[in-house]
Amino acid sequence: MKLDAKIPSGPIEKKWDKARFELKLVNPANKRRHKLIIVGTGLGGASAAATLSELGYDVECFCFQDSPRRAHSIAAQGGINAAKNYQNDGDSVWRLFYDTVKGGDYRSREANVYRLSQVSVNIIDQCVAQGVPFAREYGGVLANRSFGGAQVSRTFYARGQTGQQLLLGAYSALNRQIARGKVKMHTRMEMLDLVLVDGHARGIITRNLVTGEIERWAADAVVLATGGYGNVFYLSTNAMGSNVTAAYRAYKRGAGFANPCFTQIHPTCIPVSGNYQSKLTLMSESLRNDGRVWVPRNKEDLKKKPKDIDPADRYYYLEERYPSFGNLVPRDVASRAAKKVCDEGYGVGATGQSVYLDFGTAIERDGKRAVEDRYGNLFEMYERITGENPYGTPMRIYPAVHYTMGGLWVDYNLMSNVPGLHVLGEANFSDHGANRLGASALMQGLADGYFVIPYTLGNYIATEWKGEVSADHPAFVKAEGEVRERTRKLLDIGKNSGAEKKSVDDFHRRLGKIMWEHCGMARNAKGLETALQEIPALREEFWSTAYVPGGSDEFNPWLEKAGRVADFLEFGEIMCRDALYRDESCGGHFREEHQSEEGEAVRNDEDFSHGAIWEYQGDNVEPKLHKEELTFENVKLTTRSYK
Amino acid sequence: MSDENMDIKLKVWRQKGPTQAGYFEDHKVSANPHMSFLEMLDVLNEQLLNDGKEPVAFDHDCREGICGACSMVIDGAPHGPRKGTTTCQLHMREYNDGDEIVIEPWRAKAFPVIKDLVVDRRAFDRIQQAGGYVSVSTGSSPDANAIPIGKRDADEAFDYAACIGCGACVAACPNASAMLFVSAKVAHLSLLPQGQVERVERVRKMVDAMDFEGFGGCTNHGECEASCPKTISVDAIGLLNREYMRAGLSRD
Amino acid sequence: MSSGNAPPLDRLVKALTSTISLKIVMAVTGIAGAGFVIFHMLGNLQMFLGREAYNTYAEFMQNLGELKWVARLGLLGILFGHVSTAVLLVQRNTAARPEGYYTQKRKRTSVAAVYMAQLGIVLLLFIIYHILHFTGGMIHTDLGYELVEMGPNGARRDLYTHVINSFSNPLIALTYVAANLALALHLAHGATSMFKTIGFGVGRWKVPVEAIGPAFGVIVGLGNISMPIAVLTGVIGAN
Repeated sequence: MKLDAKIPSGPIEKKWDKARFELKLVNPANKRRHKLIIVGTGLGGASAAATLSELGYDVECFCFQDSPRRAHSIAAQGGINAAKNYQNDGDSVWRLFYDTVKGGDYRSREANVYRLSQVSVNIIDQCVAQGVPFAREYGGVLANRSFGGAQVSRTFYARGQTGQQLLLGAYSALNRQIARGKVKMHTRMEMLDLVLVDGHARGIITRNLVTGEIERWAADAVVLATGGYGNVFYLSTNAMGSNVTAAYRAYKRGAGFANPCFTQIHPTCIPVSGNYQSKLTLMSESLRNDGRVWVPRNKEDLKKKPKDIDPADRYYYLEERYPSFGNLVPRDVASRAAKKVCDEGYGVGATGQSVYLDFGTAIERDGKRAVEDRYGNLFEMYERITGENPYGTPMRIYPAVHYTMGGLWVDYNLMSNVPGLHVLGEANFSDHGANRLGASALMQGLADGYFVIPYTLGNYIATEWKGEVSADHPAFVKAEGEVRERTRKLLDIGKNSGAEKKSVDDFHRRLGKIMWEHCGMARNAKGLETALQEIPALREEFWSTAYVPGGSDEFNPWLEKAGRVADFLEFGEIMCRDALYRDESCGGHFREEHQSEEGEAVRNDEDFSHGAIWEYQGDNVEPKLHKEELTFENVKLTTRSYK
Repeated sequence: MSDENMDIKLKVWRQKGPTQAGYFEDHKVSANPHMSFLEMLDVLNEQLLNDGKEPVAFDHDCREGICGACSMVIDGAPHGPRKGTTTCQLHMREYNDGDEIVIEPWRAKAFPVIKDLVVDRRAFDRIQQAGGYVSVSTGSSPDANAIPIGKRDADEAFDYAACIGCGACVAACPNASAMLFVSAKVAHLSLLPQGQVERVERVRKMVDAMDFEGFGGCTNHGECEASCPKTISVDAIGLLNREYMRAGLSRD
Repeated sequence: MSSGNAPPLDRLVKALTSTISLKIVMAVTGIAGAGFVIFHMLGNLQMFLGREAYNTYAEFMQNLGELKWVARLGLLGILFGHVSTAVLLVQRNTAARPEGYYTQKRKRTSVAAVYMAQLGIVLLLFIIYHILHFTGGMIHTDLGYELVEMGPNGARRDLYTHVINSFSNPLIALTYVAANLALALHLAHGATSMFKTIGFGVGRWKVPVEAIGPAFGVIVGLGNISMPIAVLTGVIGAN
């Protein structure tokens, strides 16, 4: 595997300009002769599909949801960062760049992050022009807030549904292109394989989720914007349909998978209430601006109602341990601190797996009305789900898997090591390092789709593209056959064996438990080795006893799910392997062997200042490790401290 | 609140495909009051699977009330009894031991059933494609603060933009009308300066598309607002009617 | 399928046949009809002022000449517009949901709104009956349609006695009461709905517009029903 990051030379501020000048262009008249496949219609996919077709390319766009508007970007609540410095509080492209590299615990690529910060300002302009109703001040200008530990107010937001509003903006741009006949939209269509011809990504195989039809699609380049793999944990804040299949299929066809162990745990989620739990609900991190996190100082107080606990006996552990950042420490720090107090037996609630997030002080200081104005929607949502009223009693929260920083390896041009295969947004690995800052996921998705891929993809077409290929090429026929075979196998498992029938969900739940226990918020070599034993065994059990009802030529959600879980059962192993390999703590990856006396993460820059990229070597064969050394020319590596 | 499981009787719509006739099937399920409604259906499906029967198909995705995928009529009410709540956020604590719950799909000609409780809502996408956008290509936008927008207008536009496109308004309407959906889209853009240029054309095209899809008309029952999980006001419909008349008088 | 760039004729056809346009025709004819209903009620309430006043009013109306026919044709046109759009819209609305619900919960709407079309049919039948009765004198011919009295300007119809005679028959009086209840309900929803359809009832107009229908229904209902009840209970009589 050849990994050339293709980072332009020169000072970091000039790299993107230089790249844009050096990237080869495709003649406007020729663009319409080039067909592009875009998989996924979240912020990255929808914005890329719209923009590339505006440029003249012929775009085929796919999503497994019933409408492009339902992609999981829709669920992002908090906001989107941009270095606009509208608040005149000292923000700049450089500061956003610096914060993002530092927040990522120095495991991201400087050049990519700098570009992300640069184009962040254009994103806001574009979204406003589309009619995205961002929050505004009385004077009519855009409002900003400070978010997720940032010391400047650079986050733009649209109440608690920034993701939906941004996605509706991208979706409307996409709709315009669909109406003009420039984008052909295929909904309820799942990508089940990537097709390579002469080593280049030239198409995909899909299953029509309504009719079951398996189809071949040829194109001149393929763009994956298929999101993250948080659902490998079964319980996460991801949508039920979010999956790793598209990215994993690409991996199996030779694309490198980078840093799969980098997962982000979000500190403010509603705790698990029982075994039937199907997903976790996140509440915006903005709650930490006014909510104070605590647990009882004494275990005998655990049985008491929170309001009966003497204020002196409340352990505001974030405020005490991190006096300057307090409740606003980054996500990974806040999450681990919650786990720590719960592991020590101070967790509250019936399960002992939650901590209080208390608005008592804020209500006393600013009045109930002011708190309601700020968080009314979130309080309502909390009440709907838990049946408890947060105005009267503190909320209970616990961390949950939320985002995955790892993803398919891409170069500066967002192209993977497979020529022609481009990867955007959460599906790639490039920008967030080992930990993502709040309000940066939306920024990356839209940056990649609106402002990066439109330039870089043309360079591939202009320089590397190898001429037309039809979907009747033997590579397509072969890939289609493999997809059919796999589908048939999935449907046959539990039907032929005399063993007890087990649902796919059951396997997914068990995989999730293994992952959460051994590859979750805190990891250690022993646990990871255990997981590496347990996952293959579970996988084997899956392929001999899982029961998938229904047939292949019909609408069959259980078949869809089975395919995705089967991929998670393989992918989970790579995650654990990566976590075991990365013998250091950094960002969201916390190896218990590597912590300071105070329990803080300790990086090992000497040995692990690189991206770990895994190359598929065959089923049940250990993947091959490659490294991309990270060089930091502009940011000095320091130990993150939020004290 | 009691944490004890409740016995719930279900009457669920089953339908193999768009052209097959549907029917109701009775089931029993034991549900915990802290479960969400969809988790209760997960339990039912697990049960059916163990019995070697085909589980009930239903649309769902984010399960946190924003993607708009979940779509079922519960005891005659889209998304169930609770105001401003999607099915996925409805919890079983709303019910009592022994209750019988009737579950049906959205019913409208424009939303044909795909299977069981899953319907095809692409009609909404097509209405959006007809004109629910501002024609601005990437790159050609002025600075975001170049055009100030009063907070009131911005807030009101947001209220309408909050639509999650679930289709509960159509399901609730005695006429299966899509007026609340269409009006929310039109109102959102017509309240913002960015939406002015294409204002006339937009409302014409979207209303035409709405009629073409076979939705009914508005008779001002207000059921749409009452069932909308984002409690979008029927004022939107008044605004749409105004916009439409304005377009009718326009020479553009 | 969209009309934005369609040729003018196509655009005109679409603009006239769209669901919203049909609703606007319905609303405008509804407003006109509601105006007539108020006018008709106020005129007839002169019953309570006695025979002289009432018959003078009737005489005035009878002698409007050509204007009377203009008004009648106008009313007929309004009725036609209202009924024909209703038929078209009901057809569309019914077609929009081919398969009904097992059960449908009403969270917001009113009885009046749900039975709007049925009430409309009742009213249409009643209008025919009412015209045959008082305007044309083709039914209930034994109740004094042909009676005349001497007024200041010579002989004129004694409509007062005709009305008293008619409403003295409990069956006829109750028919009028029932029909006017239907009218009250139809207006309770309709008089609000018509303003909403033409784009009122938003923002500061919301509360007044939502109040106007029920208020209008109650006023028209009480006013119209008061007459047969007054006759039946002897509050107003032959003198």
